[in-house]
Amino acid sequence: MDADLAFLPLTALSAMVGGGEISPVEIVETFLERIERHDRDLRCYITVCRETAIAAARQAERDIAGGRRRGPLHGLPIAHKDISLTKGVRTTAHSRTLLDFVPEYDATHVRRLADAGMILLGKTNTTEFACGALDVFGVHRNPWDPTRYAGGSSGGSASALAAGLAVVATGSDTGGSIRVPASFCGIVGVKPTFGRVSRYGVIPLSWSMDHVGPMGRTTADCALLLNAMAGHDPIDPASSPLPVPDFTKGIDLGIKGLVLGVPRQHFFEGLDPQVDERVRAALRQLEALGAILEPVDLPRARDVAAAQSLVVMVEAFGQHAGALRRHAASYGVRTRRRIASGAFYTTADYQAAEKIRTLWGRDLESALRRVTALVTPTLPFPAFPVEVQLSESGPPDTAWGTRHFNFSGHPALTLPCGMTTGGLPVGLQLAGRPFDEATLFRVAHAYEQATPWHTHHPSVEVAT
Amino acid sequence: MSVQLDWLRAEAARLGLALDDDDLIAIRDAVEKTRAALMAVRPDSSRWDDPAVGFLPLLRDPASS
Repeated sequence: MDADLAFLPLTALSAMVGGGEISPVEIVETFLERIERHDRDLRCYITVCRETAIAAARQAERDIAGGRRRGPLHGLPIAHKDISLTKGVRTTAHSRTLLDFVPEYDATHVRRLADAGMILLGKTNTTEFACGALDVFGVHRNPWDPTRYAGGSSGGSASALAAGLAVVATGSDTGGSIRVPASFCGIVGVKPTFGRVSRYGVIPLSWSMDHVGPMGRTTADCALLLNAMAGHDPIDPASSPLPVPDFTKGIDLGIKGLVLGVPRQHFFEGLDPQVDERVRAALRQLEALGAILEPVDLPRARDVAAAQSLVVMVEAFGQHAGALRRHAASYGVRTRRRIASGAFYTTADYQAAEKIRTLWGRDLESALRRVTALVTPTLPFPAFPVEVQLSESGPPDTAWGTRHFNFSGHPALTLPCGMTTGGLPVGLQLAGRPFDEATLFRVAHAYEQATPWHTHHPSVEVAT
Repeated sequence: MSVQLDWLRAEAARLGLALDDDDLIAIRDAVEKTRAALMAVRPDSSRWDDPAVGFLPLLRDPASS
């Protein structure tokens, strides 16, 4: 019974709470019990907020029963990646340098979701500072096959969602850190447009590429969450003043006549054959739903990798320089080396990288004048073994198809589009025009309604 | 364009970073690899029709295009 409840979408739970069919206490206790039972093996959570979550659920129950329901998110639980500051709740960023750090305030998106009545279930696992080692709290594992990696860096959130240890979560994405684990774990992850969601109170990695976004098991759940997260925040200088639409409205309009671009270069090159087959089947499904697929030329997509990672590391060093000077030895080896590398590029390197960025942004803008959104695989391969992630040589390039939209700031999301014969999820990526997340939700929702992938869940009961 | 270990040691010292030789060798390899990839797609430093450099946050509403 608890598994049935744990895999219900946020939208369904919201309707049930609103209709008095279920109490927030029952929902929160269900997830806490599942976390207790399964998280020792999966390592989705760094901190679980058991007592405060139950107390908040009881308060929500009283408020809702008393006619004081704040809205559709009131009384529903959420998990935040452990790089988002949470007032009174330890925030470690999976780093020895922050083991005892208890923030005195909430990140803006955390506060907005709390104001909407959401209940903090816990803080989810991440690579150190969203970029490196996994030395302190262990490796977040993939519930579809716990010998495999859940993906980084918002892998704790993705794994928790896939395993039914959370109903929705948040993550951050600097090169793919929402979309990569979402794809590996078979859930939906959204990187909104740069500026759409405030980054205030999120431990920064790269000021010009960090994004905060929603993660869930359905597109509609992510749309509902983004409604509450998005909007201008004067404390974040990169926050956009543009108004925020209701992302749930028009989500079911269908995609008949919508022109979707399929890049000719890079994104479909060198794919695992099963990924290639599942993504091409998804393209046929989108066509069957009425979309018009059009090939688009984006030759510079092949040039983005080195430039984007260089800019991230330069910005990351700028962020961490003081802390690295004070206690470099406390950083995990991989984190220390990656971030410190940003100190050793020249201004000529940086300028060349920024030129590639500007040219890539122009190419993308031009392509998105002709098509409404782009469709690509999220990753060229499914989840790999944990040993590969931890190997000295490091994992393969997981940001292969995602970093492009951090570099430019365009919105992108991933949703599941099939399973390999080995039982691992495959992700489909949609990328769109600036501030047009609504179209991405519309396309994803139409695809989701026509396919079963979002209803597939791993058998964690057997696995653990 | 190789990166000299001595230069990395001196630069790390100047910046006050306590990095050992294992760290610096790993950093050297990463910097050389990234720089080579960058040069492969951007062999010359500048072109006459280059756009202005610098990331500007997107501000355009798609409804206006």
